[in-house]
Amino acid sequence: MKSLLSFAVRGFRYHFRSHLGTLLACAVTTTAIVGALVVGDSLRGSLADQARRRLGAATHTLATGERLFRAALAEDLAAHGDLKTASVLELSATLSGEGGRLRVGGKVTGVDKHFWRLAPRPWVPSKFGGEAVAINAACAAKLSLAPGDELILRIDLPGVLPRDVPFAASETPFTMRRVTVANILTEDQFGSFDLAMAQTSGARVFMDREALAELLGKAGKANLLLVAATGGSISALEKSLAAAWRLSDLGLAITNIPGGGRELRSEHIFLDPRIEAAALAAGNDGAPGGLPRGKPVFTYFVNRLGTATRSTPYSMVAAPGEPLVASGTPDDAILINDWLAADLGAQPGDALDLAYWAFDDRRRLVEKTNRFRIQRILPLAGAAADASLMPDFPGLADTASCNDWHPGIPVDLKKIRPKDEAYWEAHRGTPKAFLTLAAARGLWSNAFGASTAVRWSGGGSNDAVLLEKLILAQLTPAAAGFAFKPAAAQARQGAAGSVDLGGLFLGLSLFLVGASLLLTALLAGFAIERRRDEIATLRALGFPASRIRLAFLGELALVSLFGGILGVAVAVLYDAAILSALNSVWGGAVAFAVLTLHLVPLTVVSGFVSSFVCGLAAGTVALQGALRPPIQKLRTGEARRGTGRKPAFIALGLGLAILLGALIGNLVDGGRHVSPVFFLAAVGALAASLAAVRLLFSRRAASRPELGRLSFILLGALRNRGRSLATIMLLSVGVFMVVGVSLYREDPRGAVGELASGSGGFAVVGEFTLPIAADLRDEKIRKRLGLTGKEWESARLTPMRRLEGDDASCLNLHRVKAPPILGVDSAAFAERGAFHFAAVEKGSAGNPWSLLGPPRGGAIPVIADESVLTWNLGKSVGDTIEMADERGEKFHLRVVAALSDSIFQGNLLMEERELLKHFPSVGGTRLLLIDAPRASIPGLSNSLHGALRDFGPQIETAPDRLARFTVVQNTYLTVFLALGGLGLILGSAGFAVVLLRNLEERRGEWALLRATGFSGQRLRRFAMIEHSLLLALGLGIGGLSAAVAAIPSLGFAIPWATALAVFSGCAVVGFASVILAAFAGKQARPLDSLRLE
Amino acid sequence: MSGPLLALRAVTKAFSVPGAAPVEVLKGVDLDLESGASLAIMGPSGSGKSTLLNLIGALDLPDGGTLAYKGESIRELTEAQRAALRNREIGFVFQLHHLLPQCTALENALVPRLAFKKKVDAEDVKRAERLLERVGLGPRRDALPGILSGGERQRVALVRALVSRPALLLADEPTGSLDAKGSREILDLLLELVREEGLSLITVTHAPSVALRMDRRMELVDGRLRPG
Ligand SMILES: Nc1ncnc2c1ncn2[C@@H]1O[C@H](COP(=O)(O)OP(=O)(O)O)[C@@H](O)[C@H]1O
Ligand SMILES: [Mg+2]
Repeated sequence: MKSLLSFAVRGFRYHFRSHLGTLLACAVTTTAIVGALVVGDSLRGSLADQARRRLGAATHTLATGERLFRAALAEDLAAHGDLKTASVLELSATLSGEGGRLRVGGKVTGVDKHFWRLAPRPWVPSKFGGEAVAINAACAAKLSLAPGDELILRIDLPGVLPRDVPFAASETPFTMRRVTVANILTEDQFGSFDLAMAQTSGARVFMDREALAELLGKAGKANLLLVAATGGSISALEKSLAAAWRLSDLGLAITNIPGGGRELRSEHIFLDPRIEAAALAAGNDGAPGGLPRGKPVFTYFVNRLGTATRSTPYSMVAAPGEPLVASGTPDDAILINDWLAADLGAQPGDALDLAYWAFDDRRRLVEKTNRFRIQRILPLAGAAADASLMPDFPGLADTASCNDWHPGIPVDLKKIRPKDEAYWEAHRGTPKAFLTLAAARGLWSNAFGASTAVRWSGGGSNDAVLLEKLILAQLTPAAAGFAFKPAAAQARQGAAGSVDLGGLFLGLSLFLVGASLLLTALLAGFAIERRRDEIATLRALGFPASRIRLAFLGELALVSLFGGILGVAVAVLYDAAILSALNSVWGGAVAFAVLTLHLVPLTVVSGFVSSFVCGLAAGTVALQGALRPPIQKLRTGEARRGTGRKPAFIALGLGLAILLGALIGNLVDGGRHVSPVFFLAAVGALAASLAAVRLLFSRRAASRPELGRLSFILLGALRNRGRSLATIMLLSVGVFMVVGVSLYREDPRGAVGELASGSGGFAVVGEFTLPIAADLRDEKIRKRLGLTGKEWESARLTPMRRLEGDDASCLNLHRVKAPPILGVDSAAFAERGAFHFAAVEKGSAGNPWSLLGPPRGGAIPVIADESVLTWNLGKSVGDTIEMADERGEKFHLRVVAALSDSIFQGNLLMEERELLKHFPSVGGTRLLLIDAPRASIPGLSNSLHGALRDFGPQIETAPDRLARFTVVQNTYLTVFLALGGLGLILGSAGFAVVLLRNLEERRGEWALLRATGFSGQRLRRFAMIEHSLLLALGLGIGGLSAAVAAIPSLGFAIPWATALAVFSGCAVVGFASVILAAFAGKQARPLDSLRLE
Repeated sequence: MSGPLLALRAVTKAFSVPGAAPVEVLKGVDLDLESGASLAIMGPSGSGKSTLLNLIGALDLPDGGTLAYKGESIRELTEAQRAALRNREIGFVFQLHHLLPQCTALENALVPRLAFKKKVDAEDVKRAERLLERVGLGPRRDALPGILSGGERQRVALVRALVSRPALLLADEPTGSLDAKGSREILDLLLELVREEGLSLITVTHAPSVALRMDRRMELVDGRLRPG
């Protein structure tokens, strides 16, 4: 054996040059396999790293947005659950550096020492607190900040109600603060902290939580809980939370009321129906304490109380229940106090009109008037003189004088008379009129609640502490909007979702592997055939065939081994190049490289071993063929003519079955798995057509029509069927790879500006870090904000509200569960008839936008971009998506239509009413679409940038926005195209080798044919036609397979023109090289070749 | 027919190998061949027999002297005309058969007919079949060369050389790769066919037994032909 090995080594070294081609082909196999596996590892590994950097040790998060809880809750929770916790106060902000010219949207994150302990590498910052803040690298980069620099924060003030809800105070929504950068955080120091599952992280400023809270007037508050609970379940966390929380964490308070009772009231004016229900149920379930039943109370601010002749402005009206309003009081009855009776000169039995501001389910303010009949006049005393009935309306409850009123609803201070002022001073918001609860609810119920307090009358055992316990016992944290998110687990899942990109890569790489193995077999065969004499000599020397085979196998193993080693080395470089190309996608949007090379030894070794084995197997097949003496080969070829058709028939059937299966599967599956379908369909199409060619070959070879030039040329192609077939296969795989990929390339600027394009005909798209409460459609409001100028006269605005979520655009590599949701005025969109739909739910007529609306069949209709559905969500039209609403309640969305690539990429689109119903805290314009003539775009952008700079605007033209997305897709595709190009190169190399080999092999015959009168010209033409035929078959099969594989993706706008161009490019280059090879190749002079004796 | 079929006067041919002085292989060959005559050319290996045969077959041009076929100097002909001449007038048999492995015996025999037309016609096929019959390969007409024996293959090559009804058959060591029995069979056939078809024949051979069966024998020595 040792001698045989050294024999193989010597053979390998001596014949190194002739093995070189095979070695390179083996290297390509290894590069393709290892490369694809490592890309997959790197994607997964990078995202997992990123998750660790984003969340540190935190496993669960609890974000309450604008509803603040006690910062101490973190410690209380830790005490109850043996966990590591940190309270964080995180708010949106615009950040600007020195001079303040450049503003970027970002976050201010208030943290304490517990936060730093959760960092990827726990630490304690030395200079931190007060004015000294830390920033992340994105912030440093965007604003060019260095330690010691100053920074101005404009922080979004959390309101008691979403900012665009009437009654939310309309005072300036920001607080400004100048701070100093003490630290630029590294990733280990939690510099990449972010809850959002995305590659891009925004600018972030970390400051002392208490300092931030005090700045906002919310001392001791937080809105984000980070929990490190290894192995802890959500239900265990909820249990701990239920033991630790207090009513104040929910913005609730129990206060004493005049007459000895107690009241539960909310910072958020209205009592959430579930809180109300819990309060009413408290103590009524047999628990100790013997609490009297509570009653809901509803007090509201009305604009006018008037009789036919006189009226009183701006008053509180309450539904206090018994005893003031006796049970049995009709719902159209109203009781008024004597102050009001005097002011109006009203008598019992008179009609009283009550005008008030209401808001509809899209938060549009409307003044409504209802008529009541005065039932009784009450003295302004006792229970009727209860100022505490007024809820804490911002801008009202906290003012000393009517002149200071600034509620979130329009009030005309001029209407306030001195006597009104005097009433306010004496009695504050003491209601002047009283209704039944049913009547009040009929008028004023809204998305936030149907009462403003729950009251318990009388004394006794109903002390506040017990009451609090009893109420909390009725609530689950989730129902109260305290929903823990398994952030770390979700990040892991999201990272695993990225396999799609790796999977695509692997799929394409497998084609490459197939091509390189074919090439390996071809080249190894040629190399061995060249050594026929050596084989003959060895045989003559008495070597048994098995030993000769073993010696050659040893050589092939060495070839495969060294090829593999070379391949691994190239794979590392190649992966580095691919990752850096992919990294370019995020450009400046990320501070650190998103994707880094992850070389997992096991992966590399298994990739290496499997490619070694495959390479050796391919070589063995070639060896087997080459060792058979040529005559025997021809003999068996003769004997088997006809029998070789059976496997071909099987391959044809199998190929068609795979193709059909893939296409039908795609139909059934609704196009959810585009890439597996793409590859399966391609494999099926390739296999079926190659088998068909194989069958045609054998039919042609068997049929033997009368000899003519054409059939003579065909016979030339049939001369070495396996080789011709291998050539066609190599070519078709290469062509498929490039054409198939180019089918997905998109033209970012196609038909932009048209209604039916991805821009929907909109000219400008603005996105804001801070929501804009004001309705920008109102010209007066625009004037006030400074959005004036000629451009604005013709501009039409479509503001949109948005629920924040994990970006589901192609910029995000994660598989996303909770994408952002945009609220759509479906009627307006339907009327506009804009955008292009790739797919619409079956059986629906009319404009797809009109499919949005209230729930149908238990699910709320939504629309999303096709690519988002396919790649980021893994869903398709007709699918349902489960989500939890703000109160932790599960509900379902159904995808009713898919948009072709649009400016909405990354979002789900839902009827606005439904969005606000399920996510009442969503508020303010986050996305602004503007219709305007092209000429006014620069003017509009400028004034938006200027006037709305505090909101962190990102203004771009719709085409630019689309281009931003397509650039990403095209970067991916460029990488794939490069891979396809490699396939094509392999195909061409194989073709070229076969072409030259064929010419070389036939030199003797050519010489003879020339002797019989064929001119060299003619023979070359024959060779050219023969190889063009192979080329044409390769091109045709490759192109056809690509087209067939693209069928499932027909919904996408397929750039047929690009694909056709790529295909034509392949064809032109291919045919040119055939011509070149046939004519410029060293001309076989007949004499040289005939001399070969 | 007036004059000889073939006339060579002072034909010279030299080969230059890069880096060495040109080797003059033929230094002035004179030869006349009447139609219907047969001639054996002998000579040691490397003496230039094949070179001479290739010149006669218009596969190559002489450096000096004249070579006329039926009184027409081949030097005057274009490459295409020479190809046509070969196709029409001259048949070749070489030591190696160079049959096309993908074509049957019949197809191989017919291939020369495609040099100047798109398709073989019925008459071509008839002739090829008759010749195959004649050389005893009638039943093997549809066999691929791979399953034919060496002698059979050479017989196919012979048929191929004759299919276009040439006036002159050039055989360069036609039996060189065959055993004694095979050689004899082929040679018998060759001579019979030459006689039947009324051809002229020039054979290059080492075997005196072969040479003896020709009308004339000449020897190529030192670049010149001498009667042998
Ligand atoms: N194309 C060529 N280039 C260089 N030398 C050649 C060429 N053809 C033949 N020769 C040389 O011419 C000499 C005669 O060759 P050849 O005619 O084949 O001899 P023979 O057939 O008598 O054995 C040899 O020395 C050979 O090397
Ligand atoms: Mg010779």
